[in-house]
Amino acid sequence: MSSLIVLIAAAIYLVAYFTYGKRLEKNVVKADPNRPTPAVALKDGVDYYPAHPFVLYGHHFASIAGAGPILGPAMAMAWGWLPSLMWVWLGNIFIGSIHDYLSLMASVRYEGKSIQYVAGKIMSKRTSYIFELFVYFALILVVAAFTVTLAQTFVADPSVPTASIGFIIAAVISGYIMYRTSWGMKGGTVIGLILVALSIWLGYVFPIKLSTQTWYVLTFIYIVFAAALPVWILLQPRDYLNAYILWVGLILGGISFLFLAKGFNFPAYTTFSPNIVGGKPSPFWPTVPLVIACGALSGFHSLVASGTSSKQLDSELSGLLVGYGSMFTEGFLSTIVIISVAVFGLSALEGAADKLTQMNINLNMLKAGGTYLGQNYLKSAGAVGGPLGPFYFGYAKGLESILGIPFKIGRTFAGLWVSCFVLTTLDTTNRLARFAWAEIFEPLRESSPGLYAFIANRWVGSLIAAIFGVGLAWGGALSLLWPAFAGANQLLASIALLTVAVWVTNVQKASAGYKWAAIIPAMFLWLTVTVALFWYLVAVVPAQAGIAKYTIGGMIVVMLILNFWLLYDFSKALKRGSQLFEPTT
Amino acid sequence: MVIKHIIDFLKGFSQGLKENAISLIELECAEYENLFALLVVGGLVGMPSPPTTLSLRLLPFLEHELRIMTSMTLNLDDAFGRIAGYFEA
Repeated sequence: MSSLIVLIAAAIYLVAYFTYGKRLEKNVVKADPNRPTPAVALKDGVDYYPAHPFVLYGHHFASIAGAGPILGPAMAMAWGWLPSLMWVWLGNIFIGSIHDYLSLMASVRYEGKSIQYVAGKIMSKRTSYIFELFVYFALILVVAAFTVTLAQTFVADPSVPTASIGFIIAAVISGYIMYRTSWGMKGGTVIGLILVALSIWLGYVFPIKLSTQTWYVLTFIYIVFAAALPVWILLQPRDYLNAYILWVGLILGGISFLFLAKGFNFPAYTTFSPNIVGGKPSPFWPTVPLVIACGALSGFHSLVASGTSSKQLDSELSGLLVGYGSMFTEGFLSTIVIISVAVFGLSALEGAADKLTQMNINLNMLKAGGTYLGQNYLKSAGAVGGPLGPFYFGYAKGLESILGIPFKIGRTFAGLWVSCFVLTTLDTTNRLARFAWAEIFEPLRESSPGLYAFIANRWVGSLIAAIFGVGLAWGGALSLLWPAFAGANQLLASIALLTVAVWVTNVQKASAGYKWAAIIPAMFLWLTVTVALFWYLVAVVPAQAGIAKYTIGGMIVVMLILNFWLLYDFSKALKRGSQLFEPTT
Repeated sequence: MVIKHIIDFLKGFSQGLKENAISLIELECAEYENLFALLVVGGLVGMPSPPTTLSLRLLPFLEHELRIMTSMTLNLDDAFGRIAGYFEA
């Protein structure tokens, strides 16, 4: 069954790429190999330079594939593996990949400017500012959700924090060798990889056991300093070594689950409204995008696609591989996660039978599936380290079954893989939040220069994002914070989709049929996420306590108001026609 | 032929992962070079700059820095987008 699903996923993605994707390329984007891309027309060797499509694909994929496509599907298993898989595949093909590809290509036609800039051009100046506010809220929620994820991972398997700390030290040493000695890149890489292997072994031998709150405090200190340190000391070498971890993780996981040929012990379907978001019964529609975010579609991808990738595209014909193909690869990663939990998820819970008994959860009823499993899956996953616990277990079991890698080493590696992603995301999030914070207060620069100077100070910006993010983590569970982050992320995606829908309709003049390929996903996503966030506001937020209730509730209310404002801008722009929108290249 | 294509793809993908990792350091390096160019030839954008003779003596060595400064100037209206492109999630 596992091998069959891997093959079906590969087949679906390939067919969609060569049929639907190619038609979008021809009829919507009207890609022309003779039209010079910004990388060619504006080549300066700095921001704009043409990259080989395979290299750009790898670069783009590494930017968009983090812990998101792993965590969301792992939580969504409460609905069963079939609904999760359907949302990942259909979301990928009809929404996520279109969002990524069209964001990339719209940016290419506007000199490689960001989708936020394009929105400002073809909708209204206000839309661009709303975009920025969405991004800022989403970034705060990223810090919160990923801090909880990191702490849960560290508490669940004490060998992972040792390995992660070892990994950070390995990165610093590797960076020093690369940039400060004659050994250079190759020497730094070899030493770095040896030290990473040593870190995993050290994790195995010297586990670190600390409380969740202690990890929150340490994470807070880490992200404030990591965001302020020069890039070459930690961020860059760690990111570089991360690339190897990602590569190895994908290859080992792909091979293992392709040849595993095991049946699923997890039910295909549990119930329509299992307890997921905030521990409340969560109907599959509209709440699924609040749970599976990055695996199916992600608003952050439009920032990456239009911020850097569009400036390096060598030909318009390469856009499909980079924008459309990368999203499929991320969907494939989510598919591997779903398969690993579907094969081994209940076995992972069997190993925690005593804890489950203490939590008043009946293991036999869980194994029977149905409503009981749906209502108690996420709660029971707490016994094995949260929703990622079954994934770590399943991934390690897969590696052990096919490649003979000892289970404990495989589990530590899986934990390290996710924690490396999370740490990278936390670093870059805090840096970006600092920058976004300063941008939001840009209007104060002239009216109150003293106040602006204080607000825009890099330590102030960095601390505010970290205080809000970690503060929320302290007061809120992952089942509350992750959906809030996912909601903000998916709203961002809907803004980008609405923007490209206007571009496709008014600038590209796509024929009636193809015009809907952008408008329908945009409207469907906007409606789904808006209804989901209203539901979240009414059904989940009031039950929370203290800071989480008012902070998250406040953010959601503001985002919903902006969201309607944005729909108004969209409908106005769509009616306005194309005379105002002339592409610049 | 197909095997060669797959090998090329895997090599390119691997190279892309590495390039993604060094993109941030390239960005930081560009920022420093931009600052240096501004210090030397800031007069171009109205900033006080060092004595003209000193600037002129340094100018031949500033080709790359000036290119960066020009590129950043062209994208000043989209500074947030430029940074946001380096986000990883």
